[in-house]
Amino acid sequence: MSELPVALLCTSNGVGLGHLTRQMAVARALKGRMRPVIFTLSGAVAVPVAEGFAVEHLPSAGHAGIPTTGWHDLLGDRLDHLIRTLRPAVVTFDGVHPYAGFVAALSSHRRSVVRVWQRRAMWRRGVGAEALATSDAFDLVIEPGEYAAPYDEGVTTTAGDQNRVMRVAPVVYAPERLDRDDACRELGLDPEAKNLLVQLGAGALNDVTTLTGAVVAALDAAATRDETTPTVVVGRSVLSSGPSGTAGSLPPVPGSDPRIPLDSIDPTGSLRVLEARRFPWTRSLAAFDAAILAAGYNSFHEALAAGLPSVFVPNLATRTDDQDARARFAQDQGLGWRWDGADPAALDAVLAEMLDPARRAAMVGALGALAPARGAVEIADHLVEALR
Amino acid sequence: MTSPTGSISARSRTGRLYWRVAESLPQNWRPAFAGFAARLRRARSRWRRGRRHLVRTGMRRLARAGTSTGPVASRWARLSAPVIGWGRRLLAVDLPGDGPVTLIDARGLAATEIVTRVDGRQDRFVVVTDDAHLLALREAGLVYEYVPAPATPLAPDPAAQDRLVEDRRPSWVWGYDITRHERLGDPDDAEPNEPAPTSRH
Repeated sequence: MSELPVALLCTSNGVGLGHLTRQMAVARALKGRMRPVIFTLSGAVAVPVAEGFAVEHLPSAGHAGIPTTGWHDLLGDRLDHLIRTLRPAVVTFDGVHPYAGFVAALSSHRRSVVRVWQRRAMWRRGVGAEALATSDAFDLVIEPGEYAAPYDEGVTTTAGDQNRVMRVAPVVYAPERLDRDDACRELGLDPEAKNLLVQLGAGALNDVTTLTGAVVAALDAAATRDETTPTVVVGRSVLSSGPSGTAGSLPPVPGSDPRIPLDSIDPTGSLRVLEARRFPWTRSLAAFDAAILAAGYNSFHEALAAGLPSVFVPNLATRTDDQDARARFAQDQGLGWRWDGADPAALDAVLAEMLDPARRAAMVGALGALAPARGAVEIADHLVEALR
Repeated sequence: MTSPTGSISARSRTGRLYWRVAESLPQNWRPAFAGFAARLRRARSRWRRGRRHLVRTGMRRLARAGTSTGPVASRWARLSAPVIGWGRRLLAVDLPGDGPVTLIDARGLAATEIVTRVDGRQDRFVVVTDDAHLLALREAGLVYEYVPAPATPLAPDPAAQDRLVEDRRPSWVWGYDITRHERLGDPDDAEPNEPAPTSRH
């Protein structure tokens, strides 16, 4: 066993991979300085395991009908067990609602560990005030950065714990970034062609299938109109079921997955549609000229940090995350486009802009002026500093 | 109020003064009161958490003692079975359905294989798995517990994984009110946990 101090990086379940991905980014930034162990409630355990991280997991309440009664004790007991066996110097929690069982167990170790709440901002207006009451159960609050922070109207902006909040740059998990040629080669795409990525989230709360079908159909219509032959890669979430492609061998979508309504697309049309399930997409974003993405924390910041012109489709069914504010910010600041996921005419309009090379070039310039997303390194620095 | 000559009477001036003082009090005190209310809320939240934690910690220790293996603990558990049963009813996760809960040790099997093997079972059970591809179990609606697989950082070898499992077993037993243990593929090996009087059914 290494002599490095242990950092126990905990995450809530979440509807996507945001919490888990941020903790993976922090874990990666901590390597060599602390020994990170990820404890997650997310079902995507295979993702950090495949990336070589030490991972512990407990299914969240609600899964398989598990009631919250008793589950909080189970969670508290597991955290207590992990703290007793791993003896971490620091425990961080990435989530917007620290669980009662978690907080209780953590409080019983307050003298031996530094307790950190890694609290993503950008909450919906008026939501989550009760969660902020748990802030005093932590020694430190770290807010992963938001490019769209000026549009943040959530309660965290006026919380009473401002004197303990440390704000860092946006957190993006990007172990390595391939250049365009290598990324295209890995995905089996032509680097000279126009390649588009469609990734609209895990679909836990909204109907991603219908949205994806609508976007692909609109892209097909635009390609036919413009007499171009772009390639569209439909990125499947690792949290979704269905057929999955492996690197370099993307199976064609039309007809292969009945859950995606691509009936409106002429199989002999100009659009080439592929699908892939992979993680992380940050590795391969250089292969794409533009993207249509969900406006969750990960997709949004990965695209902006990579300088990828994108249409953002906010998931309006999230409980806390104000995705619409992110999408509006991008639209207003010339850093992306927003589509509400409902109006077909509006979709055609934003896609027309996105497919215009001059508009994309201008946007790439604007995105290049953004501060680098090195929040994970800054968080790692804060955690190491907190132990001194 | 002005007099017929246009001047403000002394009585009226005094009245306005009183009104302004009365009006300024809540205005000036509002921030202070808000801060006090916030402190009160936090104190109440801390008190409730602490009270719940104390009660549950005590009950948890009781339940753990009652479900530990070994002759001494078992004898003690038999004597205090009613109390332990009551405690566990309060603490345990009440899984959907009826009947005793079985802990199925399915380590070493792929998640898809587990789903196939337990398909059709009507009893309540919790699967212990070390396959990280948990989505198959989730989509099948199975209740599971995950332990890191051997040759991963937290369980470098099978013995380390065994230690993890044995360390957590009491937590699972009281956490889900488990009364039976089974190794997947060996249904004949299923046997009641000792002691068994803590079942709710």
